[in-house]
Amino acid sequence: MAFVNLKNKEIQVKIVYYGPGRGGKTTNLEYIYKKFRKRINTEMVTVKTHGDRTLFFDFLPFDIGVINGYDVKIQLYTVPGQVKYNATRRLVLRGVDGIVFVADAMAVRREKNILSLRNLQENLANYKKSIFKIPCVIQYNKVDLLEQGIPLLPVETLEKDLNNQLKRPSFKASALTGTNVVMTLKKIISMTVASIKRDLK
Amino acid sequence: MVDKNKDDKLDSEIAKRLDDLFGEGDASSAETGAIRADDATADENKSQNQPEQAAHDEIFELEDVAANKSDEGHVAPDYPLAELKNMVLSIDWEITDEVLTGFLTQIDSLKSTYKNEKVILMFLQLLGSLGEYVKTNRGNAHPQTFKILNSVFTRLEDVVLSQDMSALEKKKILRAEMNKYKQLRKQVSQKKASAVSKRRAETLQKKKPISAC
Repeated sequence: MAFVNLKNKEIQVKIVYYGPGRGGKTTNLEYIYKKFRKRINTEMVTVKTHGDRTLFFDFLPFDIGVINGYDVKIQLYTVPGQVKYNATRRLVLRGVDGIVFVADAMAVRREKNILSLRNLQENLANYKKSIFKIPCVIQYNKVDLLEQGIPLLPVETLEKDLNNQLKRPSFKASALTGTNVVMTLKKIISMTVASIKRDLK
Repeated sequence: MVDKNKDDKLDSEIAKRLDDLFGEGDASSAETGAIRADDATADENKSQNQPEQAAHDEIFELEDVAANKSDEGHVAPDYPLAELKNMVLSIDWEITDEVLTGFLTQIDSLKSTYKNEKVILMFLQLLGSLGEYVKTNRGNAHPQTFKILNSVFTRLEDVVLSQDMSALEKKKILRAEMNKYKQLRKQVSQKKASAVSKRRAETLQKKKPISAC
């Protein structure tokens, strides 16, 4: 459940970008930050180490203004994708309101995507949250690699592997070039805010 | 009915606010990229009808991966470095024996493909040495190794793909990558040397009180 301050009429919405390591979660946030920094008037916090891999998390907060009388503050987080950092992933998921699952469209990453989604399901269950209920958008990232001859998974395969039962909105994207990064963000924000509003009723 | 109107108003208010903030986004690509942009509310309602137990179900069937290997992607068969690129990206992702063995095998196979092209051979040798180093040291390899591995591969691609690059230019690129590699070797040996001297100092310190007695 989002953090709601009734006195100050403020809602904090936590959205976590989840997915396998090197899938482009940080690149999503970096694109948003670089392109809209002036408008969203914020700073992105990134904790990196060991060859620029995200060790802890990235954090990008911004305000979308007053909606329905409440000042809505969005907080975007990423989690470290490598298998060994599950404790951190679980910690970042605490109090999450919406998820962007960033899958890697590269053919060699197929199994990792599935494992990561399963890991998300398990970690959410740890907080008594269901992957079927939480607002979630799936992004198939790195579609730009096809031009370079890198084998990619067909969208039908990705949908079958990851979205067959979830049936969530999904986008082909390239976090590097920005294709559909904003669409993904808009979708998850509107889904999450709508969901919070339903919970508040 | 009133609620429905309120919901619609909220939706449009959010959409307007997001358009203001993130306008001039990627609306054109969205038309082609959105695979399933179902109405969020409908999705939520649909999902809420699922039983609670679903959170614990084994919903993602890994066995399908093996069964459907045939539909894995669109390979560009005429690009000689495609498989090596896969391996480089895989190392960046996770260091496993399988990936590193595949990487070194690819290097060997490309060495025979490019046996008459000295600059490319040198690039492959650099990559091979880096691969061997990663294979030995795995996650403890110097953090710069992965950056340099990516850089050497990217420059190798430039050399292989460029039609009109002069031999001199190719050599210049190679030299720059060699310098990075040498720099890394220096850093690794310095790190090793300081670790050895630290160990020696610790051993000496442990011995001191005994001799004092």
